[in-house]
Order: sequence, then C-alpha cells, then structure tokens
Amino acid sequence: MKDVSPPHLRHNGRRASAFIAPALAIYLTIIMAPTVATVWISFTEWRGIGDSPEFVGLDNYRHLLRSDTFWGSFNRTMAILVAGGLAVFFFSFLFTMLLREMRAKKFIRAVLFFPNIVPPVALAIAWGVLLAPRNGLLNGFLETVGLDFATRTWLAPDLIFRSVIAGLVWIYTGFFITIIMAGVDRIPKHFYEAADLEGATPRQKLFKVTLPLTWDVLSVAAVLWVITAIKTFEFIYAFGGSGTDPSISTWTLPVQVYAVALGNRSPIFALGQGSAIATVMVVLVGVLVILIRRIMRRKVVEF
Amino acid sequence: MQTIVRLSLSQRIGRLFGRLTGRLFVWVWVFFSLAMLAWLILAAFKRNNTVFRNLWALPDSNEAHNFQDAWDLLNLTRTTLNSILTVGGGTALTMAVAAPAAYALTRMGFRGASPLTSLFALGIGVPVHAIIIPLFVGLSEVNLTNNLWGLTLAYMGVSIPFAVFLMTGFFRSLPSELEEAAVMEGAGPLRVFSVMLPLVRPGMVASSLIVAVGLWNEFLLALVLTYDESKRTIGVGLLNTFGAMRYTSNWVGLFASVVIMLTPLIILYTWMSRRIIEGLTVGATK
Amino acid sequence: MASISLHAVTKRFLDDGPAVLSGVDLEIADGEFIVLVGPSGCGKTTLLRIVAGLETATSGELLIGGSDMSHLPAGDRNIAMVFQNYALFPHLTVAENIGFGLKIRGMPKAERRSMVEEVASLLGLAPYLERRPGELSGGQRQRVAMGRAIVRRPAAFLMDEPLSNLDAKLRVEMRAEISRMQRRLNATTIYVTHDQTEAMTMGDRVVVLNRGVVQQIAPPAELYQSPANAFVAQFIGAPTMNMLAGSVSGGRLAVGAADIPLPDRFEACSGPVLVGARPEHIGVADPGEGHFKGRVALVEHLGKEVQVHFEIGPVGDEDSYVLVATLDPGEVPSEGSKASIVLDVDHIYLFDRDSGSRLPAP
Repeated sequence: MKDVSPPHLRHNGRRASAFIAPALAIYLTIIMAPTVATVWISFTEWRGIGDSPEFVGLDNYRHLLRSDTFWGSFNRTMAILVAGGLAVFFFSFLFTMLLREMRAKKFIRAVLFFPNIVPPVALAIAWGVLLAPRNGLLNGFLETVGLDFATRTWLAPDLIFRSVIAGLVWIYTGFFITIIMAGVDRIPKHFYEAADLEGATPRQKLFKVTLPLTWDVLSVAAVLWVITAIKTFEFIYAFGGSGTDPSISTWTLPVQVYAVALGNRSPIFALGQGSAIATVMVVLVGVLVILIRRIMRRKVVEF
Repeated sequence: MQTIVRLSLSQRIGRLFGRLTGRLFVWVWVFFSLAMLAWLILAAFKRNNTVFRNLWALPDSNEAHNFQDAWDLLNLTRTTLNSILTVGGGTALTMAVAAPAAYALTRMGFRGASPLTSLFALGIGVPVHAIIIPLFVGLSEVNLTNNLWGLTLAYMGVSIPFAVFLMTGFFRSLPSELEEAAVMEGAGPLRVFSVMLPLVRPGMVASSLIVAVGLWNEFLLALVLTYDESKRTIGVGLLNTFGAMRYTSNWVGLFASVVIMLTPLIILYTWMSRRIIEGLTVGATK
Repeated sequence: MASISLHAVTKRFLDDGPAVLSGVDLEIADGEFIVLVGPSGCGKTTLLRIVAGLETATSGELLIGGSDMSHLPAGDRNIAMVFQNYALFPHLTVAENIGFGLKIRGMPKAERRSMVEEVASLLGLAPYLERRPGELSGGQRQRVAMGRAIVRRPAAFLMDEPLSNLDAKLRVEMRAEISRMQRRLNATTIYVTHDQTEAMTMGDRVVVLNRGVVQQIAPPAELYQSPANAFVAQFIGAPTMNMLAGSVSGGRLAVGAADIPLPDRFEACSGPVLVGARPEHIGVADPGEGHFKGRVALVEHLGKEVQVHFEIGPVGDEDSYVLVATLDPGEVPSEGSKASIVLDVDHIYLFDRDSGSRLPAP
C-alpha cells in the first residue's frame, strides 16, 4: 500500500519506537522474558540456584493433576473468582444505584475505596482482629447486642476460607464501585429523563438504559476482576498465617506457588512445581480474559 | 418532572422504605470501614495486656512508646529510607518511560500501535508469582539481587503495564486539534509531546499515586529479591513483625507499626483521593 | 504571501473506499480570500487539511508559491491554520500561545516579545497577554488563535469554520473583523464554512463542494445570479430556490397544469427539466390569472418582508408541492385563502433533469 499518511506522521513507526523502546525493553525484560522462563522451568525439576534444572517433561503437571493440595488451591481460587465476583459485582451495582441519589456520594466512595490503598498485611491484621474467636470484634459485638447464638469460630478450618472471601469482597467492592460508577455517571441524564417520561420502572431503567450503556465499562471491570481474583495473594497469605506458610485450608494458587517455590521450606525449593502452578495461573487468566472479551464483545455504543 | 404512571400509595411507601433500607446499608458499610480503621489506630495507643479485654474502650493511658518500640522493631529509619528510594525511584522512572510510550501508542498513528498496546495490557494479567523465580535468577546473574537498584528495576517492570494502560486512556481523551496546531506551528515529535504532556497532568498525578501506593504496600518482590536486613523495605518489615507476633505477642507494637505505615497513605489519601479515584476511572471508561 | 494551486486532487481514506474528494482543481491567487462551502461531509475540511499537510492526497498535486508541497511536513509549509475550537494550548499564556511558532523557529526572546505585542495590540489582546485561554471569552480565544496564525507572517492562512463556536452576534462582528484583517495583511486565505452567509460576505471567490466534487468556483454575486447547476442554485440563497419538475417543448414550459411561454434565451432547450425560481421571483396575480392556483399554507412575518408558503394541488395529495415566495408586507394574502401564483419567467432557471446542470449551458 502506498504511504498516504500525512507527512508529519510519516515514518512514525521509527519515531514512535524511540518513545516506546525504554518502556518496552524494561517490560519485556522484567515481565515477559521471566514469564516465558517460568513456563520452561515448569517442565523441569529444579531445587534452586546451585542445582541445575533437569528436564522432566510434563511430570510436574501430572503431579499437579493427582495432587489434592493443588485441586484445593485451584477450587479456592475459582471460589474467589465466582462467588467473590458475584458478591463484588452485586454490591458494586447496588452501591452505584444507591449512591446516585445521595449527597455524600463522593465521600462515601472515597471511604469505600480506602481499603484498596491500605497495605494488605494491615488489612489482614484488621480482619483477623475482627474475626478472632475469643476477644474478636465481631463476636464481641454480637454478644453485646444479644445475638450470642450468631457467634462463630470464624477462623475454624470450615469457615476460615469464607472469612477470607468476605474480606476480599469488603476490600475490592470499593474498587469496582469506582469503575462501575464512572461508567454509570458517564450516561447523560436525559436518557433517564426520557425513560421517566415514558414511565419506565427502576428495573426497566437498569436493564434498558444503564446496562447497555455501561457494557464496555463492565467488560473492562470483568476482565480486571478475573485478574485481581486470580492474582490476589498478600491478604490471603497474611491472613492465613503470621508470616510463615499459611494454613493449608486457605491456600489459593498464588499462595501455593509461594509456599512451594519460595517459602521457607528449606532446603527443598520445588521451583519446577511452583512454576507449573504459576503457568496454570497465567493460562487461567489468559483463557478467562479471552472468554470474557468474546462473550461481552458488542458494538460500542457511542453517546 | 412528571411521571406518567401514577404510583399507588403502597407502592410509594414501598419505594421509600426500599430507599431508606438501602441508605442504611450504605452507611453501615461506611461506618464499618471507618470503625476498623479507628480501632486499629486506637489500639496502637493501648496496652498489650488490655487491648483485647475491652474492645471499644478508649486508651486509658497514652502509650506513645508503642510507636518508639515499633520504630525500632521495624528498623524504620532504614526500611522507610529504602521504601522511599525504591518506591519513589520506581514510580518516577515508571512514569518517565510509560508516559512517552502511552503517547506514542495513542497519538502517533503508526501501524502496530494496537497490538503493542495489547501487549502492554497483557502484563496487567501476569501474576508476580509467574515471574519471580526467573526474575530472581536473572537479577542475581547481573548482581542486582539484594540491591535497591535491582528492586527498583523490578518495580518499574511490574508498574509499567498499568501505568501505560492508564496513560493511554488519558492521552486518548485529548482532542487532536491541539496536536495538529502544534504540528502546523512547526513542532517536531518531541515538542508536540512536551505540549501534550501538561494536558495529561491529572493522569500523571493519578497514575503516579496509584503506582506509588501499590509499590509502598508491596512485599513479595522485596521479600524475595532482597535479603539483608539493611535492604528491607517497610512492607517486608511489617510482614516480619507480624510473623514474629506468635512468639512475642506484642500486639500493640504491631498495631503501632501498621499505623506508622498507614500514616503517609492516610495523609495522601485525604488530600488526593479524588484525583486517585477519578484518574483511575479514565483508563477504564475512555 | 503566495498563490496556491491544486491539480486533480483526489482523496480516499481507504484504498478501495469511496473518494472523499475527486479531481479537485483550484487556482488561488496571491492575496485572495477563498471560501470553501458545502454541506457537512462534502470534503471541504479534508481539502483544507490536505493543503495544511494534516492529510495527504491519494493523488494529485499541491503547489504553494509555485513549489510542490505534497510531501513537505505541515510545519515546513509556512502556512498557518485557525481551528474550529481554536486549539489553544491551555497551559500556556496568551503571549506564549501567540509566540509558540516563533519560539519553535528559535527566534530570540526579545524579538519574539515585540512581535507578539504588535500582533496583540492589532487584535486588541494587549491587556490579556499574561492570561491563560481558560480565562478568556470565546471571542478573545478566537482572536488569540488568529494572532498565533498572523504573527508568523505565513504564506497563507487556513481557517476551519473558525466562527462556528461563537454566538450569533459575535459571529457577525468577527466575520467583519476577519475580512478586514485579511485585506489589511493581503493574505492568501482558504476559509471553510458550511454557512452560506459567511461564504457570500467574506470570499473573493467561493468554491461550492458537494460529495467531494467541485460544483462551481465563482465570486459570490455570480454564484447567486448564475449558478452552474441545480445543487449550487439550491445551496446558495435563503430561503432556498424553489425547484419544480417540468418539461419544455416548442418554447413552452409545462409544469403540472401550467403552460408557460419561455423567453428567447431558452429556445435551444427541450425535454424534461427542473425549473428553479427564487422566492423573490414568485408573486401573487389577480384571481383568474397567474400560472398556478394554490392555497396559502403558511405566512411567516420577518419584518422587512414576509415569506409565504403556497400549497399547489389538492390538500394532502402526494403530488402537491409547496412554493415559497418572499413578498412585501403590503401584498400578503391571509393564511388559508386561495391564491393565483405567478412566476417571473425572466428570472427563472432551467436545469437538466438528469445531470442537474444549467440550461442552456452558461
């Protein structure tokens, strides 16, 4: 094709590369090359520096498929993704709708977002204090208001992971409210006024106006949630156990990677095993993101 | 405004009730979040032996020495300095390379801009866990482990994808006339960029803050890539204090540590929350 | 200052896409004020941007001051552009905005300052030099944009609907001011607008574009009196020229039921035609006379004159049509009354029904 771009944009590939090269170089070195290396390491058995990696093909993956610990982590990650996701999006939408008519909207939004800038370790500590079986804030509160029967051993093995999910929902709802609210705020008021004049019910307004016009934002939010849910580590790690390997009943995929490959289980570092789980995470993110984009792809509505 | 469909009295009461319940729910959630924060801060002023006994009691004596203990416990003079260096340096350098990249990706109209943008966005989805082992090995090959420069470089790498993603949103929202006006006046690519840069200042501020907060709270990379006491960051320090808790049970010291780490964030957030939140939304909605 | 020539300029945004501009030829003399006018999407802005260097023509030639500019970057063409929304740099002061191009060209600060001040006083901007665009009114911003263009003494000015963001009153003022400034600087200017009033009042010559094709290039008066085709005839003039389908044979024009003898100048014409008559050339005849019988559908009083819509044919019938006439306030029939309507045959236009071109060819 003949180059018919305007002269000031011509050969811009070359000019642009000078702008992009530094960021790209660092990105490729720090993120992309190691990701590829991790996939490679996942086909080896390797105990860390000093040991030389030994190619074992798919052994690590075969091992994972037979490992209850892996499936436990996998299922818990999926539980965060699905159950946590439903809760986060439900609350985000609910808050967006409720806040729309409230005057303290910006203040409330700022408070709800706040956990997202707090060190996850601190959040884990706070969450632990809240749910501590004896002396915990929640049980203490329930006893004070006479709801003794509702007290639970929140950190017991059967409940602890639900407590983790609840904590994550508390933290991330503030983040997703922000994004969804921005999408909703962008919708011009006159669409709602027109809908009101036509006598639309709140439900109709939600499904006929709000959802279609925030679809692209929702699709971005859904992608971000998939990434967040699979990556989230610090809170669970710190909540599950105090700085050492967390209790196995809260392990998710990233926690397991850490425990297997990097935790202080010296002298054995199962780097091949850890890399295989990390590879599963990357593939999971990739597949789900592509899936969401496919499902949610639709013509962008300009307004 | 007039609604064509008239609501019956019961419907109207129902709606009013619904709205009030909704608002109550919102305020309960807000109160809960603030109460958690307040409790942590108050607890930092309490005594170790009474802190859990009467949960909502105000501190009976001013236990300010908790902070002194925490300061020593966290080796804060050192760790704060390390954090400031790596977080500050990492953020500044990230923005220095992400802004021009985002500009070129959105505004220079070259073939390959779109796949390159996607390539950067891909990085948002890569978990740190998937890079940390080879990254450690690679950095140790060039003697950059246990080294603040190496950590800064790693911080840049993990921050660049999101910074580029946000900044492309900001650059995309600029009108093309300004660029064209500069071109008509004879400006070259670098000059046009320097004209456009001030226009995305809100984006630069928001992105820097988001990147900086994320790095300040980060501990995994710091934990793995550095191991000398003298190279610790504040996040690692807090984690270690937390880990030591099962032996020391110095809870108030821990709370004081948390408060120390939180203070700059709270100050920053009360001052800048609007910029952070509004900045964050541009990338998602533009 | 310089002349500008365009030869056979064609532009497609996609290789196999439709032509946004096809075969545009245009010679602009040194110091001339040319207005490009046409409906939205006609290609006028694209044409301007090709001259500016912000777009490149798919084929054809562009000369400025006699030298080929097609492949020169915009910044090296020594032309200045005023954008629709001014495109002022919001973080720079008025003085910095005006002096931006001079600074890029490396002019020393003192010299730059004096040139900026000179231009600012010319435009009445002297008191605002240290303000930022956000603190200025729409008219002042417009002037700053003008100042930025003027200060470099470019070979030509390009203006892309520069008045469309101003309110009606200011637009009239700025219109006159731009014309005055252009004469004073004797600057070759290409001015894009969709507003025919601006086109008629400002241009030395007007280029009417439609669907990327030049319809006519002529001075305003000629455009009005001697339109090259039905499109130009209808585009220029307000209210729009009335256009009726008819046919000519033996020196007589048949339009609906009317049979009208034609003046001699139409003697070479025959066959199906479009008949054009400007509203001022339609009048009311005594009952029983005139060419058409109709009903007064609408009367609009504009003060000096009155616009009357006559409906010809049965009410609500598909074949009914409306003729708009401009009448003196004294001769206005009442709404709903019956009227006899007469065409001023000395001032009507005939156009080929298929090609739309004027008959007989002017």
